Order: sequence, then structure tokens, then C-alpha cells
Amino acid sequence: MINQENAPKNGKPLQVNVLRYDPESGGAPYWQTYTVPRRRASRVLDVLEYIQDELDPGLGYRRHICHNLVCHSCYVNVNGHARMTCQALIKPDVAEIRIEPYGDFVPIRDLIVDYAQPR
Amino acid sequence: MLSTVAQVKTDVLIIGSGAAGARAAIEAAEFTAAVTLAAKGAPRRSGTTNLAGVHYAAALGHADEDTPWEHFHDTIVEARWLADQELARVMCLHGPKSVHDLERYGLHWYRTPDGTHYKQLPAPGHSFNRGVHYNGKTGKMVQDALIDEVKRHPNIHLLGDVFITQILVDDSGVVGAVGIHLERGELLAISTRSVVIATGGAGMVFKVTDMETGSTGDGIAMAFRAGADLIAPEMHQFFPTAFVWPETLRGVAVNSSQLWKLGLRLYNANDERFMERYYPEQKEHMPRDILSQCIFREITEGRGAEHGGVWLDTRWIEEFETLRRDRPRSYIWPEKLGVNVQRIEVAPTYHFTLGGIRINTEAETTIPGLYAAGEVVGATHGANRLAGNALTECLVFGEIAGRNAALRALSTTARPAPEAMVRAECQRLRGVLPETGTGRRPRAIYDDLRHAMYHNVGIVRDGRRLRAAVRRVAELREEVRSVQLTNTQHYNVEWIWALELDGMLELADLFATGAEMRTESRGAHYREDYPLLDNENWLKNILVRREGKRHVYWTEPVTLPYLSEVKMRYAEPSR
Repeated sequence: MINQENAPKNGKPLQVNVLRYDPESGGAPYWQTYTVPRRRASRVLDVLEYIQDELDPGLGYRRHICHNLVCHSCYVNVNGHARMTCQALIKPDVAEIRIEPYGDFVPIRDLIVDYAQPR
Repeated sequence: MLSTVAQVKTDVLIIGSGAAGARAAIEAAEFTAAVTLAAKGAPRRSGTTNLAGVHYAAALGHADEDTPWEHFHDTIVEARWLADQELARVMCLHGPKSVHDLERYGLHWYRTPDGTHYKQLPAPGHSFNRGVHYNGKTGKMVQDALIDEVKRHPNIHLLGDVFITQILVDDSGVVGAVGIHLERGELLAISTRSVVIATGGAGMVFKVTDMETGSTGDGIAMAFRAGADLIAPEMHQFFPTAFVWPETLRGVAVNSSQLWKLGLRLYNANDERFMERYYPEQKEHMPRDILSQCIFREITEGRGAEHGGVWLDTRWIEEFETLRRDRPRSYIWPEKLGVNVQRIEVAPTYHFTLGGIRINTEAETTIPGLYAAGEVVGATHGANRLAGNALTECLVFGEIAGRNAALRALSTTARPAPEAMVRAECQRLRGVLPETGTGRRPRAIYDDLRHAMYHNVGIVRDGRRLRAAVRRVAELREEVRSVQLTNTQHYNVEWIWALELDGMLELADLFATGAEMRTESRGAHYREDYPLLDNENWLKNILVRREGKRHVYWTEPVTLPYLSEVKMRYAEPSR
């Protein structure tokens, strides 16, 4: 990714804590931790795509997105702040990040929110 | 799985909420039809319209002596004479009106300093300054203005996160549709007599593309399954200059076409300005298809730079610093990712699906009640599309499709979607989304397909690789029957991939087979084993239709009702 060159190739993996929510179980949201190799952890977008493709295909995260700062459908909360995942760079010295669904809309599953239903 | 079926009744169903679909919805609503506008993603936030670059081509003549007829002439010549002249004529003549429509919806185009005229920019292939624009955000502004207008109409029901999977057709034409409500994971049986397909292109069938990731050609595949004619399945446009590095930007187009006019230069790894060798007079000032082929040839013949691209040099462009500051997303953002925008390493990226559903000038497909508009349509741009013509096509044919769909709906009696057909589609969907599959996951097959298509059916083709692609696609189709899926009901991302894959595999076969049939080179279709343009034998279009399980291919000569003296603008090797 970005700065694949800048990211330490064999650096310590990134801990990614994702707030998950399963509408079918009806239970409360819960945290799940994933470990993502540094070379796949330059933007939050890369991290979530890596988790979905390689670790957990069941993770709910929208994949119909522009990848390029335009569409605004990839919003999540990163460490408590609303960010577009394509624009959220992860510094190489960060060891752990926290990802929650975008708080302004009603959640559908995991990180997917219903943009037609503001909270 | 998918055990509940919800009923929806609507006069007009529009599939896709991008420029063409949204415009169609507005038009149908103004004719008092009850409209359901279904989008696979979140409306306004999904679709490729958002990503459209700078130009909106319309011959307003505000910058010079341009006329719609000149626009038509350029479109046909640059299409290498393969465009449907009737469709292109309608697009060009209606183009200026659509600019005013958008302004009425709230898009305040860039104007001349005194405010009296629209600013119109030059682009390669256009003989006049024709691109009205909103700087680097034209696509986004078009999408926003249209959705804002859609929301002003109480009779448009916007339905996001709905994947329409089948158009129901009997002898009388369209009788309904079936879709999946992704959020709830339930089936929708839609009663309607009019459907507009506006789902855009199929860029995701190829590995490297600048399209939005939902551009999987669902609508083209759906129309084909329903029995509609497709035209020009072999024609796919690549945008010559897209980032190859960093990896995260790979495939993103370096905006915009305007750079060519302003003095952009291309160099290979030996620091040779290689376009001088191919076209000593025009150099980089060439249309997209020719530039893509020249760049691709430099790369494959070993003169590419370290990440497999060539160098795009902007230092010769006087206005570049202004452009850079004006368009931060295009230039300043890549800088943050480590790109030096004075010298960008670039290669071609899949940009536009030239082939697609066959329509007439009323936006009617070959099935009564089924309409199509926008990129999903084939033959409007022939073998090469001009900058800015894509949005124009969406708005112009969106309007026509919306009107005709409404008029049909208002003059026919609605009836419930036939139950037997809905059941048959449920059955088919259970095959596409098997509950107990043990094979690979859909994403892995998806990636394999995209890889095979990019390498074998991409910019430079030959018969051997095209046949290899057909075989590979057949293998993957076999494999996809036992795909392994997550077992959840609410917004199952793997369902989406499996559904998309089903259509993509169908289309990939048509794309490769069509490309093998066309034994010449023309515009975006370049065959290494048939490198010459062949007007004697190939001034015709390839068409395909499904009859039962069989794919029936045939060709039809291009008709030349308005411009008949076939003359090429560039010195292309020909027979």
C-alpha cells in the first residue's frame, strides 16, 4: 500500500479491534481482535479488506466503494473519530487501532450502517 | 435462506441510482408514474458516476463555434465508424439540453468570469472546447444534483441495498422482477410492467480498473438472461494513464484528459519520448485507444519503468501548478501517498464498457417494457469513447428511458408478478448461493476471473489467449457451483460476491468469444494476430442473444445514415 516502502516489512503486526454486531443473534455488540501484517496496514481501508479477504469473510463491511475519497460510503469510527477508511492513514508506530461503525446512522451488521436512516 | 418473499408493486422499476438511473427516475416521476429506484449500494454513495472525471461533453458553443453536429461528427470518427449513428446523434443533439437540466437540479457549472457563459474545456478527439465541468468533482456534483432532485419527488421510492437478480418476462414483455433485500436478507417479488436497467459497466471483470467496485455488469448479464440482444461484447476501453504505484492507487486514473491538450509528455524507461516514434506529428495528442496500445507496447517490449509503467511528465504543463492546487484529490492526495506528481509512473486501466445492451433511440431493448440507459448500453460509442461523452449519454438516455417506461406503465394494466416465475428465480438463486458448498470462497474465484480476463482479453489480444480465456471461464463456472459462503441472512457480503460472480462469469465468456470473432483491429480492440483495420469485412457489429441455453452470435453491418464517407482521422495500419 501506500508507502509499502515506508511501512516496516517485518514490523510488529497491527492489532485491530473491531466492534461487531450480529442482528440475527439479537445480542449486544462485542469486540473482536484481528492481527494484520504491517505491509497490509497502511490505510484503514487496506486493513478491513485484508480482514474480510483473508481472515474473516463474515465481517460486515461495505465493499462497493470508490477507494478514492469520493463516494463517502466507507465511513467508520477510527479511535472514536468519524473517518473515511480510504483516507485514514495508519502511522507505522501505531500498535493498535479501534474500529466502530459510523455513529450517525443505524447499524445493519458489524461496520455496515444504513445511510438512509440517520440516528 | 431466502425463505420469506416480500411483495412490491410499482409502475416503473429502475435498477441503478447513478446518473442514468436517477435521471430516468426523475423523468418517469414527472410523468406521474410511481417509481422504485433500486440501488445495489447506498444511493448517492455508490456507482461509478461519482468517479467521473472533469468533462461533460455538450456542444453549447460557449467557448467557440461548436455545434451539436460537430460533436456528432467527432463522436462517429473517433468511434472508428462503429458507433450506432442514430444513438450517437440523439446523444449529441440532446447533450446541451441535459446541461441545463442539471443546472435546474442545482448543479452550478463553472462559468466564464462575467458569469454569462459556461466554461468549456478542450479534450483530445473533440474538435472544439466542449467539456462543461465542475473541476475535478464533476461526477460527484452530477450525482448529488440528481439525487437531490430525486428526493424532491414524493413518487420516487429510493430503495438502497437491494440487489435485483432477474427480470421476469413472458410473451407480452416485462411482467416483473425479483431481487434480494440485502439488509433483511429476504426476497422481493416486484410487480411492474416497465423496467429501466441503468447499472453501468463491467469494469470489475478485469483486474485493473478505475471503476467503483460495484461495477460488475449485473444489468448486462440480467438483460442477457432475460433474452435481450447484446451488442459489441468485444469492445472495452482502457484509460491510458493510471497510477501503477503505490499499490493502493493502482488502476486509479490520473486525471484528466485535459492534460493531453495542455502538453503532457510520456517517457519510457530509457527516457525516450516514445510517442514521437509512433506518431511524430501528434505525439501524445492521440485518442485513448491509441495511447493505451502504445503505452502497453512500451511496457511489454521491456521499456517500462520499475513498477511496470511509463513516465507521465507534467513539468511541461505551464498551468500544472494551478491544476494541482485546484484538484487536490487528483494530485495532492497521491503526494501524501508518496507519488511525485511531476513525474508519475502510469499504465492503462480499464475505464469504460463500450459494448452492452442493444437499444434504439427510444431506449427500448429488444424486450417490450425493458429499457436501458447509460454505460450498460452498447454501440453508442463504437470502438472508442470520447472524454465527457459518458455522462452525456447517461443524462440523455436516462431521460428518454424514464419517459418511455412511464408511458408504457401508465397505459398497461399491472398484475402481480407471476408466482411460478418468482419460484423459478428462487430456485436459481439457491443454486447461486448454495447452503452447503465446500469449495473455494467467492472472493478467490472472483480474483482468478479478473486476473484471467485482464491478461487474456485486455489491451492486446490474440486468438490463442482468447480461447484460453474462454476455457478458464468455463472451469471457474464449474467451480462456482460449490462455492462456500458465510451462513448469515442480514447483509451477507459473500452473497453479493457470489451473485456478482454469476453474472461476471456469463459476461466474461461473451467478451472473450466476441473478441475472438472480430478478426481485425479497431479502436479499443487490438488483435496481435490481426493487427490491421479491415473496413472491407468488419464495418459491422457483433451481436449475441440467449436462446434457451444456447448463445447465438451474429453480425450486422453498421448503417451510415448521416455520415457515410468512411474516413479515418489517424494513420492507422489498415488492410
